[in-house]
Amino acid sequence: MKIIGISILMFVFLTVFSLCMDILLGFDLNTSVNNAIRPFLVMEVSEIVIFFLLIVLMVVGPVRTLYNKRKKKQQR
Amino acid sequence: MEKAKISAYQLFILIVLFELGSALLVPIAIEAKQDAWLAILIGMVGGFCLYLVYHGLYSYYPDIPPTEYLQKIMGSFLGKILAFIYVLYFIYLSARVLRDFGEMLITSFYWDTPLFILNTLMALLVIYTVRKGIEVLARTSELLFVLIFLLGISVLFLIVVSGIIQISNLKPVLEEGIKPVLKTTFTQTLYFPFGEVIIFAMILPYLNRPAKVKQIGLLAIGFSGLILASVMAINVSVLDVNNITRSPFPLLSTIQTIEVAGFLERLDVYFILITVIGVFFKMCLFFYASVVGTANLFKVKESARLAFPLGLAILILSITIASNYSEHIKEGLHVITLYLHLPLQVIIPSLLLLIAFIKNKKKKRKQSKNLFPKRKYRLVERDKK
Amino acid sequence: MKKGIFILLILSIFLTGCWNRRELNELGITLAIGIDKSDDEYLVSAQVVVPSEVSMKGGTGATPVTLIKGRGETVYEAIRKMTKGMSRKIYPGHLRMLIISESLAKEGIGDPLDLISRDWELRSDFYVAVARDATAEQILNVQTPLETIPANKMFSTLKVSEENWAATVGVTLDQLITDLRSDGKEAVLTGILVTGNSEIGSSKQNVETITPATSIKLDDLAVFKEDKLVGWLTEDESRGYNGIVNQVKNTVGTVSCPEGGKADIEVLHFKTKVKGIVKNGSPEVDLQVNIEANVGAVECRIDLTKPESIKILEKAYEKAVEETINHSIISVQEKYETDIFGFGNAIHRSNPKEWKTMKKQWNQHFTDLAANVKVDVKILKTGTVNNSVVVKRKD
Repeated sequence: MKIIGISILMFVFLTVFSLCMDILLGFDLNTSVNNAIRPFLVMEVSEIVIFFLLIVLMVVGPVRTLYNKRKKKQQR
Repeated sequence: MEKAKISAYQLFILIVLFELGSALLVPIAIEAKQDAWLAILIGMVGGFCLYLVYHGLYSYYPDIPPTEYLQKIMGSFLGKILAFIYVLYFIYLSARVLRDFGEMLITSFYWDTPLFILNTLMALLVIYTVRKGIEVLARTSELLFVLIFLLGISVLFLIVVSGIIQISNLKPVLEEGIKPVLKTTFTQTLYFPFGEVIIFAMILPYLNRPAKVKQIGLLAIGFSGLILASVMAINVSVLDVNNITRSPFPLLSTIQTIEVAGFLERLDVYFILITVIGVFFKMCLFFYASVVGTANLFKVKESARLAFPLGLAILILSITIASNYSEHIKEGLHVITLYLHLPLQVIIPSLLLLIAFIKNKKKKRKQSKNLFPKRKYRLVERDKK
Repeated sequence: MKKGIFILLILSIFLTGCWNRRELNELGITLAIGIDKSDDEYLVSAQVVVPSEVSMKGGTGATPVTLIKGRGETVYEAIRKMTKGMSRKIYPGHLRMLIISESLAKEGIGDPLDLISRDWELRSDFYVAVARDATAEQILNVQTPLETIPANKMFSTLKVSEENWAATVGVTLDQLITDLRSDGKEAVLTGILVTGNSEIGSSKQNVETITPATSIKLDDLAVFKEDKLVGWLTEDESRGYNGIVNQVKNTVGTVSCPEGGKADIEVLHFKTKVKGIVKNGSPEVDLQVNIEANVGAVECRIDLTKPESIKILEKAYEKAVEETINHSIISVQEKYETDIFGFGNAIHRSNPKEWKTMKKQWNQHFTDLAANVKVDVKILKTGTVNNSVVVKRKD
């Protein structure tokens, strides 16, 4: 869980980071946010499937370790 | 920090592949027109200076990564914030390299394949490598360096044999004086690709023979600088300045012009191999540094477990970073150099070195004043922890 | 590990080979494209190979290529509109020739060329030529003997002729764009023309006779000013042009013998060095031409066993080359006022500072430019016989 927390934290900061770069390049905030989201709106079906697969994989690992830990605790 | 060791030779190869990575791909120093090679060489000299700064910091704290010694130099709070910024910077750069790679494949070969898919493939590969650790990466680099070296030699041979080099395209040298060349150097080549060796500050603690770090690093930067400068000179002499400014990937255009004996032509695959290998290592090193840095900063024991989620973040970032290629390149060559590279590669490390220098001098003075040797030992031990 | 295999399996479903595969039998392999313009619309014609007719097994006797046409406001639109009359999408990856009609060339070729250089499927190793006194469509509409595919015929003709006669220039797209963008050199392109009745040319009958009723032939060079065609060189001027820009590989020159009759000189090596100088503020160029040659054929009474007579031939050929070069420089200066020889680039290299002030009005400077031509000819071999057939043995 800690790992997912860290990653989400990093991701948020990174997005802010890259938006800042866009703004420094001379776009306003609206355009740069729009630019960032747009690639995900035009995805093909197979792209979306792969994208979600990757996210699921990211979550599965930590959840499983957490589940195992609890099991061990219960067994004790 | 994982317990791994790399040799001096491996460090040399890693630095060379890192420098060549995306710098071979994009038109660097093209603002200096036919003197681009000169701008690269001057940038290389600047790269030496920067490397000496990073090495100076390393020699004060040879066993711990920058994310940790930042906290020692600047104090816990400020140091942590700076370290966090550096980690973000590394992740951001590795997303940029990934985007370079995807754009290269898309514009030249995989016209209709979505950028996301190409980037996913590369990202998965990089995540896998980084999970395996720095030793695996170093050994892979030894293997692939031979391949890239042979490819480079054969491409050079074919270019010379096909007689497309026109040295006169490089003239006149210094048409508008040295000014534009220096300007290009200090706005571009100094930071990209040479200043980016700052990433090796994260790698240096793994070296098994710390005495050689300085010599090997300088040698590697010099070697890659010479290669980059000569490749750019060849590009200009083959394509002419006018065409180079039009071409998004000059080396690709150069290789496409090769035609020997009517059948050795269309050697685009050479370019693909060279750049994919280069980009792979550049991205791996950036990514490795960011994973290790994050783990170090947030005290995660197994840094490998961070690889997948962070890799996913990089993948998404590489898509959202810019909406098209020209925006991406403009950001890379103009915005980032000024607002990111300059402070993070030059100003902060120099300041850090200064502070570290003063601090260590004070410490030494204190130590020499101290008459009880027992306490001195304790100090050293605490440092090690 | 399991996870890795899982990912690989999933990916392999989506990525079997390529994202958007196109099989060979879905491609219309295009070897030549012609661009015309009429009524503000581009008329693009593409010569597409009919695979069954060029296969080794032999076809049904139909024509080996077919011509597809499309109209549109831009070249790109026209090419896409072709799909209305064709079952396959144009695939220009193997393009050999790009033909531009003379009338379009006079209007300017910059805009239509942009797509051609930007499109990723096109490589830049094909030749560009201008259709003289004809539309590009007419050129692509002629069947040719020897090579079954007309586009290949034009491509190889250009290559062979450039290497052996040196009055034509095979200009690739890269070269053309370099010239168009350069301040110190203007572009030239080879002309192509149709001789004979262009209606018969398109049918298979055309290649069923020994002398085809219609054929396509290379012509002299077209001169451009910026991206607009301004005129044509003569054959002699074209050869002079090739000499100046150092593109002669092999050619034959004819000189008159002192006692009447002609001798042919076969050029083996031809090297020209152009050096720019600025004298008293006005630009000049020094041309140093070095030639190594053979005696090809002698149709006059000259004793080739004597070194003096070789010298005479050398001198005569030096003069001839010098005249050709001077003639083409002067006539281009007078008629077209456009620097196709790249003298501007020579000045740019040698005197970058002066070039900056001259750059803007370079074509005016070019018309007043003095060229100092020096030719040096060395005759190496006299062929497999010494004296000509007509020189009688003196016994």
